[in-house]
Formats: sequence, C-alpha cells, structure tokens
Amino acid sequence: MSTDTSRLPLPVRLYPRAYRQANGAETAATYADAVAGARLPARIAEAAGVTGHALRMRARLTSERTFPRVAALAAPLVVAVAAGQSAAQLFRLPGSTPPETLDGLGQLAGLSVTGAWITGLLWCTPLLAVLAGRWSLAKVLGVVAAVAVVVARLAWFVPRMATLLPDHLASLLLNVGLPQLMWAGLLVAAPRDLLDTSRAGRLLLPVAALVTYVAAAVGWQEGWRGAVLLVGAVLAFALGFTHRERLFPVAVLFAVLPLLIVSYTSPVTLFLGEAGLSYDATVAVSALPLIAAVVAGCLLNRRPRGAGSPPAGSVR
Amino acid sequence: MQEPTLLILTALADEPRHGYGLIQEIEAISAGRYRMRTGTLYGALDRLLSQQLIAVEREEVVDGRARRFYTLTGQGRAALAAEAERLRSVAAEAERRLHVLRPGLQGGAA
Repeated sequence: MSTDTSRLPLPVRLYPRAYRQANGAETAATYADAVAGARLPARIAEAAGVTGHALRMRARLTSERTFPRVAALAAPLVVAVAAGQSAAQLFRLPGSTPPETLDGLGQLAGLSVTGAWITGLLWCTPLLAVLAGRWSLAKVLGVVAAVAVVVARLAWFVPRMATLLPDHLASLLLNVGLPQLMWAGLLVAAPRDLLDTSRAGRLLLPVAALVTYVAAAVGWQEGWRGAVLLVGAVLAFALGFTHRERLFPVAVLFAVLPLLIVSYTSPVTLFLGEAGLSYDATVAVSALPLIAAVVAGCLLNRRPRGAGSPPAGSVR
Repeated sequence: MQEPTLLILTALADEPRHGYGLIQEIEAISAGRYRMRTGTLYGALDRLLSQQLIAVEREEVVDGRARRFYTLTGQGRAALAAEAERLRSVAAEAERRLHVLRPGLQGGAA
C-alpha cells in the first residue's frame, strides 16, 4: 500500500519514511475517520497520539521492544515512588532530613525551599493523573516536574558559581536532577498500549506511595535507619520475582534506582572522599549507577531477534 | 494481558476488521468506556503483528480510503482463549465466594 506522502496529514508525515510508505495511507484513513466530526479537544488528542507514535518509532521505543515493555511495567511504580519521595521531602517526620538539606541555609533537598515545594508538589501530580485514569496527562506532568527540578537545581547553582567550580555542576545534577530525568524518561518510554489501566492496578499505587513515604522518611534519619531504603529496595526487587511478568524485577529496579541515587550519592561520595579518592574519581563512581541504567536501557532496547521491519507490510 | 490487547483481540475474534472498524468495535465492546486513539491502536497492532498474534488479511480501497483488514492468527486465537479462560475462572471464584454467606453477614450489617 504505497503512498503519496505529501498528501498525508501532518502527524502521519512524522513517521519514518519506510513506515510511512508502507502504512501511511491506512493510518491517515483511520486518523481522518477518527477526527471527522470530533470536537477540538478530541482532534488535538488524536493528533498528539499519532505524533507520539511517530516519534516513538523514530526513537525506536515501540512496544514490541523490551525496554519500552520494562518502562510500561515501571511507569506505575515511578509515579508512586516519585510522589512518596516528594511527600517525604515536604512533610518531614521528626528527625528526618532529606538528602542535601541545610535548614539553616534555606536549602531543602538540594533546592531552595520554594523550589523544593513547587517541584515536590509537581511530582505528586502524575500520581493523581494516573489515579484519574489519565496516563497521557501523567506523562506530561512527569516531564514538567523533572525539567522543573533541573531548572530549580540550576537556579540554586547559578548564584553560587563564584564559590563553586563549573565542573561541580555535573556532580550536583547527579544527586538532584538526573535521577528525576530518569523517572521522566521511563514515563515517556512507556507505550500507551502496554500501560496497566485496570482499576485494581490503580488502587495499589497510593499504597506504594505510602510505603515509599515511610521508607524515605525513616531512611533519611541518622544511624542504622539509613539502611532502610536500601533494604526496602532489595525487598521490592525480590518481591518482583513473584509477579507473573518476568521483566517486573527489572522494572522495579529502574523505578527505585533514582530514589536510591538521591538518597545515597552524598554519603557514598563523602565516604569515598574520606577514603582518599580524588574529587573526579568520586564523581565518576557516583555516576556509575546512572550510566549502568542507561547502558542497560540501550541493551534492552535492541530489536527482538527475528522481528521484521516495519510491521504491517505484508498481506497474509 | 493488558486491556488494550484484550480488547483488540476480542474485536478481531469474530471477523477481520480495519483500523477504524477496530476503534468503533472496541468502543462498543467496552460499552463506551474505552476510546482507543489512532496512535495507540497502531502501536498495539504493530506489536501484535510482530508477536504473530494477528495478521493482515487483505488490503483494499473503500470509499477512496486505504483499508488494511486485520485478523486473528491461530496463535492469537489461542492467546485470547487462554485469557478468556483465566478471566472466567476468576469471575467464577468471585461468584462462588459472594454466595458463601458467613453467619455474621447474614441479614446485613446489623
């Protein structure tokens, strides 16, 4: 079914050329039927959906690949864990100090107090959107929240540039900023058709958020309690093996890794510095979990063996 | 099996359908609760094609519009049957438990 691509609607023209030539006419026909007589919000949603699928094809994040499947399993956990962590930063238990918090200097979780509150509340909104059954909105809110954290982190850094070296910026973003971007990346990578839209699945999310809140609030206290988050993450990973989907433990790992990075990067960096490692070496070591996650994501995203390209090209 | 997959396979169980026909059928099956967007539909169809759960049966032009008709493969029919059996057994168990009246619950909460 070859196509004169210049006649296709704009969202359909965004598909990669090979896919567009094989499937463009049919996708355009379905899109035209779906928007015929529809109101503006529905037409915008249709255009956004086709655009999203086209960009997903270009980014090689289609739902037959393994990494998007992992991301789809991780996405509900991401919104719950992110909300729980943010709540633990904003509504602190007595004796609980979120990482990178200096109360006397007006610094909360590596940001100004105002920045921490804005971004913290923003990170609670994807959970609310998912509970309302609005996954597309949750993804947008997650990206907004992650970008807001990076902007707030940079806003915190810029006035201090005189006293900090520019290469400190990388290590600062490793603690706060890049982990949240990883969460946003997982949300974006999760294909809509693989997300759990069941009511039962949604009802478990507030529980997961509450568990994260308690684990973080306790884990950010002095002494042995500091291990609570790590033990909780290991337990969650182990429980992942009881799930009928075999990729679920990997999804758990991806979802909780940003929380572990936020919580443990500073203590680990401090420990390594006291052990005599140079500044650059400590930064390199603290970057390893994120680098490992990116490498793992790329490896998981390799095309499945035996898969043809692009699909829907041949008649049975 | 996630809901979009279940709905697509169910919509194809009785006869081959084209993209927009699937969107309409899915809306009907779910009693208007689920309106699948075009982008979501083709993402799912691509995956189901690569998993060989569905296949393209024929292509034709209807009223000036290109249509590709999708159909269930034997593997897709088996997957749908297995999922239907799983749902049936869960529903049967729920029904059974609802009809087991515990003494404390007889006659309401009082």
